[in-house]
Amino acid sequence: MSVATIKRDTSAKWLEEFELTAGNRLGAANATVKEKQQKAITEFAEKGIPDKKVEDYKYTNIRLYLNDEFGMKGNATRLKSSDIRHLFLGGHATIVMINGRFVHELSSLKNLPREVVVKNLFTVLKETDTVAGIEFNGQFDEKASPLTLLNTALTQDGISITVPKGYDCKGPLHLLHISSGTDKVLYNPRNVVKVGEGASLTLIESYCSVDLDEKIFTNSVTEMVVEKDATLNNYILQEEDPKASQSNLHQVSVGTTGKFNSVIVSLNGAMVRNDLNVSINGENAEIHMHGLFVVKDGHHIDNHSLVEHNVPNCFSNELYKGVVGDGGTGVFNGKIFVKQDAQKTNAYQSNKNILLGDNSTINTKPQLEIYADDVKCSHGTTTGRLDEEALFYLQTRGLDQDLARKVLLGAFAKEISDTVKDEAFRNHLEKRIQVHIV
Amino acid sequence: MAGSDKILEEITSSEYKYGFTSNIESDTIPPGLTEETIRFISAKKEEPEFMLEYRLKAYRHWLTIKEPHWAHLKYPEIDYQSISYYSAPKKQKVLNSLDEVDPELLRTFEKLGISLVEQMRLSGVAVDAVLDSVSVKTTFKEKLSELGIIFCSFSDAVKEHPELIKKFMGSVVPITDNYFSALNAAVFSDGSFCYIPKGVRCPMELSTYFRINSAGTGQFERTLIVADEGSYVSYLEGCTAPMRDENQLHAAVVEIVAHKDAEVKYSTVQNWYPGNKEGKGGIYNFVTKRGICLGDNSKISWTQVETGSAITWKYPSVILKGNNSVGEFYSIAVTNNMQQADTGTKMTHIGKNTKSTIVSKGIAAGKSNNSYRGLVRINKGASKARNYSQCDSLLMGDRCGAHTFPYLEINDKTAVVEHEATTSKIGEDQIFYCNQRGIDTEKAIGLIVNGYCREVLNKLPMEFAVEAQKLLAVSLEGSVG
Amino acid sequence: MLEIKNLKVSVEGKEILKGLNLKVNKGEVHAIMGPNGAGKSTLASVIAGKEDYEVTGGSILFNGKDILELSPDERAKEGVFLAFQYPIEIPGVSTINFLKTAVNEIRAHKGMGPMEAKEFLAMLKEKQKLVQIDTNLTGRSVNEGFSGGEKKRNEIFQMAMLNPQLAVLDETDSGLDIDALRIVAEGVNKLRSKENAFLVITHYQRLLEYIIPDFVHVLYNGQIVKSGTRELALELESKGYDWIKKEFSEIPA
Repeated sequence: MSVATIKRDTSAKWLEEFELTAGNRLGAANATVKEKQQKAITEFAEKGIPDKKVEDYKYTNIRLYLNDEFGMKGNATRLKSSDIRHLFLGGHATIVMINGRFVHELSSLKNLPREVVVKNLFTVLKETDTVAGIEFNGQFDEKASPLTLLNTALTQDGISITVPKGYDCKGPLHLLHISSGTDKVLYNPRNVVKVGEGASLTLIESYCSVDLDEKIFTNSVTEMVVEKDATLNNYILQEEDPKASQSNLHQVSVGTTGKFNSVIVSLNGAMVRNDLNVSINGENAEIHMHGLFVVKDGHHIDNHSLVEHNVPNCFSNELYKGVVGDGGTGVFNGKIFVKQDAQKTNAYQSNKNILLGDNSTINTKPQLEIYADDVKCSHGTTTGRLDEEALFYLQTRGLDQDLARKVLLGAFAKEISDTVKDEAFRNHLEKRIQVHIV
Repeated sequence: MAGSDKILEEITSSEYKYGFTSNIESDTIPPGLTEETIRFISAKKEEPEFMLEYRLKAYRHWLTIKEPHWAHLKYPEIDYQSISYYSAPKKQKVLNSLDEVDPELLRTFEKLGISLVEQMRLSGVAVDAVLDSVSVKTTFKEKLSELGIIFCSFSDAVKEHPELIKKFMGSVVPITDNYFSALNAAVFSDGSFCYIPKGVRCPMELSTYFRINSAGTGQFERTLIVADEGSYVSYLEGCTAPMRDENQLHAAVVEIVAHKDAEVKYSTVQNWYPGNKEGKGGIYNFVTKRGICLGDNSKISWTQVETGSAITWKYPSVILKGNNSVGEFYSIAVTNNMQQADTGTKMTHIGKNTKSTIVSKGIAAGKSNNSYRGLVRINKGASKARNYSQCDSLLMGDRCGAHTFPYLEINDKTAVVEHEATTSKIGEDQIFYCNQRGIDTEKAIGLIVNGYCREVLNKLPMEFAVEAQKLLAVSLEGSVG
Repeated sequence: MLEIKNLKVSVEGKEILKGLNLKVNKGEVHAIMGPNGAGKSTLASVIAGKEDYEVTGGSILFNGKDILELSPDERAKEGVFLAFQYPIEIPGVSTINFLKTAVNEIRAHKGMGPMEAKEFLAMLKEKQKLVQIDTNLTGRSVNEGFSGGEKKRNEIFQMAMLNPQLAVLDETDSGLDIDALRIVAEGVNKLRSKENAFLVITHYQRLLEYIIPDFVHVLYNGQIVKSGTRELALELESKGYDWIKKEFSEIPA
């Protein structure tokens, strides 16, 4: 009985919001989407907000960060261009998203090639049922997580980015996500990114807070499709206010000889939960996933990843590094899944962590689930202190202990930031890492 | 299909070699589980009141909890009311020599290649043979008792050493621990008890052969080993079971307590009937094994070779409470045909400077699924704790699965934890190399697999290692040649 | 002893050996030379029975028996030995255990019982001395962590232990320094007898200064295009393979 009560408690609030927001939700734009939202809220109601009893949330209790005190309406934010200018990167085309909504007047689109189509998802779905051929919610099956269901049900808008067949988008596109406001709000932005056959795109996503006065929870879902011979570089920096929590899921489908390179750097925020799910659906695809998380002061960062090798002859490599300071909790949960048909798969996964503080915790769960025999798969994880001999060595060369630590931690982090190919963003990343890492 | 694949398939599809059933009249109660059943078992075994209380408490708790389903295992629902919870061979008069032992039983042991006679005469191993639920024979008792070592059936211990049983039973695996251990606490039939007094080094390997014998009877063994300060014991457990069609439930509990400076080595070779090629029959093996390194500098080492059972659910674990204590887990798990294994360990570091090592070798063939599941937990305050884990999986054929699910929870900044895992298949070039030296493919696979498991086999006591090596080859052997 | 007639072999649909003929008698040492890609290693692998090679025509008779139908281990039991160009590592299996298994399997084939432990150890010691192999290498896992030279020496050691009728040495000289080369060659020379034969496959003439061949054959484009004595090897050494290539570039299929 008690189990049922808890379930009702954590979903009832959102069932109410579902009714109240009917006119603003994405379903208002499109009848098919409306049906999907209805289905999603029904499924969500069965599950509720996940806590530690759900295996995928064993180390991250979402109920600590999202409860009934949250609503779905926030005061309109009146940020001026000057408030956010410093967050722009070089001359990159910048799309400003405030609380999950595209704000055209604050964005800088003069360097956006006209081949690349950037639109509100709402606008797109009002016209047609798909985003350049991608069906809304088409990549999720019955295994969708409770938070994905919640996003699908409640989402009101988001951004859609499409790169047409054969177009090589040279300059990176910067998605600048800003949290701002004075109310406890749950946001459910929904984004779609498509890189057409033979096309390429570098997409930078940065998450930060400006004038944020109350706790917020951003429950973001991004569907990405990398078609045949296409390349997508997806670089993410998360550096929100300690009042902000976010669950950020990327569902990526990669086609034949497609390339997907992901770098996720998480430096701040009350709670960050990342889900990076890559489904490899075409042969000879190549996947690289890198991550760095720096967490302390009672904050919590959880990196989940899933690589599904559905077809033969593909390569995936994953390296996540964590620096856990005093009072921080880090989680790494990676899974390599190799289907029976996916022979000649090469899949590697590695997680390395350094614990620095007296109340530091790291929970790590690297997993292999393998049903094909002609494969090379491995994972490894290490957790420990900073190399004391190296620390001593640097001290004998005249560096004081703090500086020596900083140098070593910097080197530890650099392996991840070095994988970013865009120089402006890499430099920015390195600076931000230096700020948080000690 | 390429030639070597075909050979692989033939080799890995061999049938169980030790399938036979011995015919000893059983004293069995009808299937079903109620408080009455438990009272019957306790009365039949002439147990003191405290034991009955303990059983009933466990039973009442068991009624409130549900069977766990988090493991990577699929099996039909178990009907706990269709199982008979007690069976014993008919009481025999006290025996003076082996000649008086039921010749049927002796033949059974001989078929297993572990003749009591040989064991007693040659290897100096004391054997406490458990056939079904009641101890049939205990040997070397006198020699051990000179040293103050108690090695007897659990039932005898309950009557003769109630203080020790009261103190330690359930101290490592409490009634509330899990579904299967609660069931065991309620209905356990018999098992072994072992106490090594202060400073005593047990001069021989202690060993027990468990066997399931009576059709349709569940097996609920209970073992308790207490090693007092500065003592040492090496304990061997091995089993094999007769072929049959019905699924059989086995839910054993093993508890080990190691006091200050004590060391316990626990080695297992498990070869319960795995079911036939189609997955019919076979033992469901849900085992709770846990040791606690209670005192400083104590050490508990688990070594297991798991080749049998249709379902294996087993996580021999160590709680490292004493400072500088050491926990080890060395495992080989072979699954073939339709077998499923979800096995691994839990190492919980509480004391300072504690160390644990995990080496797991999983071999999956046929249509089987073989999972390693392990937890390494470093509590806050377990300063300078160390863990090293190596989990390797070998796949033989493209219809089996090999999985690794490690959980590492680290709460102390001075800890050093390392985990590595690999998955691969037997190299065709390795097989060809052996072939070229005149070794046929079947033998080559045996050789390569044994080499692959060397690190774990080396941890077994000599005579056990030989048997285990044979077992590995037999498990993967087939109709070739 | 060995008679190869019109042997045609394909790998993944590509024809590598295009009608090769070769006859080796007891007591003879034959050298097969040829440029890269001529089919030298294919020949070695096919004689040993490696699976990836498809024999599309011809025959290989060993002591009058067609061995193409035999599995690799049956050929080994009949007395065919291949010293691998790239010896395989078998972790966890000690060289001693490996060889004991091999020796006893071959004995069983001849209807003999397993070798006594004492006798085996004596043979082990004797052969170790013969090929000057470090005794601790034989205690280690087969080829695991061995240097290139150690692996090659281990091949010759195994050959000594198994005492085959026909030994095929596939580029045993590659990757060896001059000292290791000499030791390997001396080992082979000590094992030469009237009863056995050697097929030495090499790219360079260097090895043949130590192992003096009775016959030298040039393999080019899947066929033996020239046969001669030791002098042919020297000629190749001084002229290189280009003249062969020029002379035989238009071989009718």
